Amino acid sequence: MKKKKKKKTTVTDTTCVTNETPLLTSGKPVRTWYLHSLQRLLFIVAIFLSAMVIYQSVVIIEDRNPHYIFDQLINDGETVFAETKLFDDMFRESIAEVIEYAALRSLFEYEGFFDGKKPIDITAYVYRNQAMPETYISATYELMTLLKWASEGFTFSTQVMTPEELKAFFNDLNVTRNRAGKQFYRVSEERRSMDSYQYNVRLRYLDNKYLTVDGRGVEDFVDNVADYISLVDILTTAANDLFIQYERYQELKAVYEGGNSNVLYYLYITDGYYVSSLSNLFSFSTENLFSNYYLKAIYYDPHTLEYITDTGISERLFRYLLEDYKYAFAEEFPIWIRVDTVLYRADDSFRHVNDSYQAFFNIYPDYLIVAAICLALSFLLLIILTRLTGRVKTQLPPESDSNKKKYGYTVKLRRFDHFFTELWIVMFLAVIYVAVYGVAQFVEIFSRPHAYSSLFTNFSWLPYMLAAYMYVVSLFLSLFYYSIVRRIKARSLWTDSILSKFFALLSKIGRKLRSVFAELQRHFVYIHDNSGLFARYFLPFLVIAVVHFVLIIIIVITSYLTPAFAIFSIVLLLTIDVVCGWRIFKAAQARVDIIAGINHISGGELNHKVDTANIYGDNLVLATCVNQIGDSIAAAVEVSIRDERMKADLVTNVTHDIKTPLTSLIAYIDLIRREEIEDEKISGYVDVLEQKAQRLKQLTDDLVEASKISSGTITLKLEKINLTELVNQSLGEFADRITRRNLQVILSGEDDIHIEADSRRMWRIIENLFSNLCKYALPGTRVYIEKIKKGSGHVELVFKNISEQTLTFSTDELTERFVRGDESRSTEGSGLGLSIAKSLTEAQQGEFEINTDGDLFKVILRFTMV
Amino acid sequence: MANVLVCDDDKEIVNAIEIYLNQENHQVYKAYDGVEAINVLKQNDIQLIILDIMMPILDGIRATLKIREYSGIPIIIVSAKSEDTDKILGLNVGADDYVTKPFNPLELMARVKSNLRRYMSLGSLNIENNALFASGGLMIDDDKKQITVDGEGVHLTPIEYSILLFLVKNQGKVFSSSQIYEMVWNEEAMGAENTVTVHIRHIREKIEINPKEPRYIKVVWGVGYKCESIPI
Repeated sequence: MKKKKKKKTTVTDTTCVTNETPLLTSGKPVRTWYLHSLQRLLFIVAIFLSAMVIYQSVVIIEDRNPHYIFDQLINDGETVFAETKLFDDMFRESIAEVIEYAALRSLFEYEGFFDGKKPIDITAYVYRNQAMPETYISATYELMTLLKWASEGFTFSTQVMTPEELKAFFNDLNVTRNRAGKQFYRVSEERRSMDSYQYNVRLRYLDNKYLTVDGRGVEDFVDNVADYISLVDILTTAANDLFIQYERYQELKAVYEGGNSNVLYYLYITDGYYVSSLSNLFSFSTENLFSNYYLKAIYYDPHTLEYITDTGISERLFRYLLEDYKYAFAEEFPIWIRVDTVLYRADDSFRHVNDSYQAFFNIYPDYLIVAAICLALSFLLLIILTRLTGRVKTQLPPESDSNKKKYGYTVKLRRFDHFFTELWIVMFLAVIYVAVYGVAQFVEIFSRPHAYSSLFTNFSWLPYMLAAYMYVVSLFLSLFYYSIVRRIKARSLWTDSILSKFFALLSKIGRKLRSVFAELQRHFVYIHDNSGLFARYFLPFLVIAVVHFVLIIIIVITSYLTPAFAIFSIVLLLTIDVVCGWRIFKAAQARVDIIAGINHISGGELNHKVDTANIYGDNLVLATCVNQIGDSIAAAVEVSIRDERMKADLVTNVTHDIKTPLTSLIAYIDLIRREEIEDEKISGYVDVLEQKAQRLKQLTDDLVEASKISSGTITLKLEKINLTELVNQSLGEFADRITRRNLQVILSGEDDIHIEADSRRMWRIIENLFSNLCKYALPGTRVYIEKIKKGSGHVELVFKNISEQTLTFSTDELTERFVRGDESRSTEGSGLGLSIAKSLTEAQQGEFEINTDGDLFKVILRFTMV
Repeated sequence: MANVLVCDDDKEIVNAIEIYLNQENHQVYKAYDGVEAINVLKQNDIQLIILDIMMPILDGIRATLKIREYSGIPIIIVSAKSEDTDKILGLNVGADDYVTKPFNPLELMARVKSNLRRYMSLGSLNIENNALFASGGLMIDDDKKQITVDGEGVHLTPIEYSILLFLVKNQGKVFSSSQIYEMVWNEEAMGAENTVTVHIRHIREKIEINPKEPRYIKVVWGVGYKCESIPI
């Protein structure tokens, strides 16, 4: 409910739109408080059940380390207490106690009952577990009196006696010098006479109320001080030991008598003379010792050394346990000890542990499964809620083709979602730490329950406490977690962080600094650029030279007095030098760049630009000018290309318009000719008309071609062609015309010459040349066509003929447009032939050359060989 | 003989073509723009169309496209546009022939005749005969040593016949003049290639309507000659 309230109050918060589409109306936030509650409940239930399982898993036995059923389960998979190592350990302790108890009974009892009048030979008692000394003094006391003395404490009186008195006291006292070395009786020396000393003895004298069975004192059994003292020692030791054993006897008796223990035993004890059976069973039949019904038992027969057991107690261990009390057991009779693992009648630790085991295995699988399901559901809900959190249903603008209302989602942030992100993350981590700490604490308590027993008398409410604790923690956890999720969705994680604010501040300062610096630089550059040549070039040099001079003097002067300052000056000097050198280098680099730029532009790469980003001063002016020159040339070239194109287009259009009437002209001239005119004069006129119409046709075609070539709008289809084949084909085409002009063609040169060219354009060139030949060569002469391979990978195709007319024009003029061999222009031809041939040759990277020598007319075509 | 539709926005040209066609005994229908041409075509039984490209209302290219939607009759485009790209465009949209202005009237008549023959006698040829070689309208009957172009007999000298037969047998392949010489004369060409080139020009003059724009025997300049492989 708390969550719900919060949502209602934060609906009006700043809206952060993350969807790309703009929202029209903003709706209510998606309600999820009940999901939150459910999720938290499931989580807590899972925690609680897990805690319960852990709690149930711990078995706390007094004065023992806690036992964990879980461990046992994981280690050997045992689910029955009687099969566990814990059981064996407990059983082992019980066996030890039973053996001890049996021994004590043999000590204190006579025929099954406590016997206070039992006489105790104290020396035999003290040496009950070891061999008796060879010579010994002993006294026999009544058990009760010994116990009484031990509980009250022995009383002594201290007496200082002279040797004479001692002698009298012990009847026949043998005090010798060599025994006098013992400290206990030589207590003082008195000077009796000039040459004799008297040795006085301080004796710890036992009060004479401690009497033996036959009413004698200790001193009656001994005849010297050493024996007296040792016997007194034995007496006190025996009494005290007996008292301790008596208390133990009482303690064990309470446990192992009268059905107070689940440990059942049947054994025989002896006090040296009599053998008696000992058992806490009400009825006993030895036949049932190892029937299936009685499990978890030990049977040991000292006489046959037969050892049978179904527990984890080994024979060796059992014998070890028996070792100290072997004297109390009858050698001929077996020992039988078992635990009532069926009924656990007695209310002891066996029953408690068994109860714990049963309780644990009752709940353990169910609890864990439920806990796992709860946890899984809880995580599922967490994922769903992570998706849902912060969502606000929003109506999207309807699409043009449908009137349906469409809804989308936007993310709304709460007010506290704008607090500093880092703070939130730290809080989130802190809460996680608190949660982990709580669980760790819980586990810690159960791992060392005895350490906390002063805090907790009853551990059973710890799971509840943990659940409550985790509930509170989870409230905070979800608060921070969902806030961070919403921030991520709204992409405000970074923008709301302290770091981003800090960086923003830094960049603001950085911008400010940069603008100040730029301003300074601008001023400096302005001053530099506007000062005179002297100030610009000579003054800086002068300043640097002076600085060097001054610094060198300083170095020389201070090098003895303050070397540190000298070193500083040297460093300063070097710094200045390096900076100057660097500036000079950069200027040189800029110059190299500018030269490269000029080279590019002069090489025809008109769009090349010198990068002016890092160039200053005169170099900048230079670079800018170079760039401008490039631009200007590029613009000029572009204009000229465009003009050529326009010209070519114009020519094409004009020729189209000429061609249509020309068609009619040719057709009708032909029709006239068909009329079979008899008048020769008119027939001659028609001939002229036809001739001129054909020339017009030729002219228009050539005109289009020439303009196209010069405007660069032709596309070349380069392929490998055989020059010889081309010449042969051309000869074939022109064979008739050549014969008609009575010309003789002489071919020479190699056959196998290939060039890369556009074959149709090549034909056009050759055709023009042959056509020229047929028109202007002197009839009856020889024409030479030579193919010459040149050393540089070039091939020359040379046409040589004798001109009919005198060659009165320059060779350059011939390839100009509309220049013809005869000034009268009476022959056919447009005057474009050689011009077109030259243009086409050059378009294919060839060279076209015309030579005249008297009447010799020579055309040379030069191509690269393939 | 046939009904021919002549369409050009220049009336004088239409009239001139009409005179020539009439002399060949063809019935002439006249139109002066593309739309008119299509209307005339729909109303009459036309066997061939002569069409200009640059015309008002509907130009020749679009008219050709429209006609080709429903008719496969021969279309000869007559245009002042003489660029290669123009010719390719015209032939690609469905024209059968392309004549550039100014044209020789006799050449146009020859092309009309050729297209009509092909159109009329389409599929009537027996090509089962092994000794029969053909490329488009060019047909060689090697048994009878007869050559016909669009059904009309052509007379060639024996050498010319051998060269043509060789090229037609190896349609689509380019042969240099020396290769042709060696194949036809069966001896090594030692500077005798001129002979081949002259012969081929003579063949072209005999079988082609316009030897400078040959349909069958093409000159690959600088490489050699080939016979174009045209479906019959």
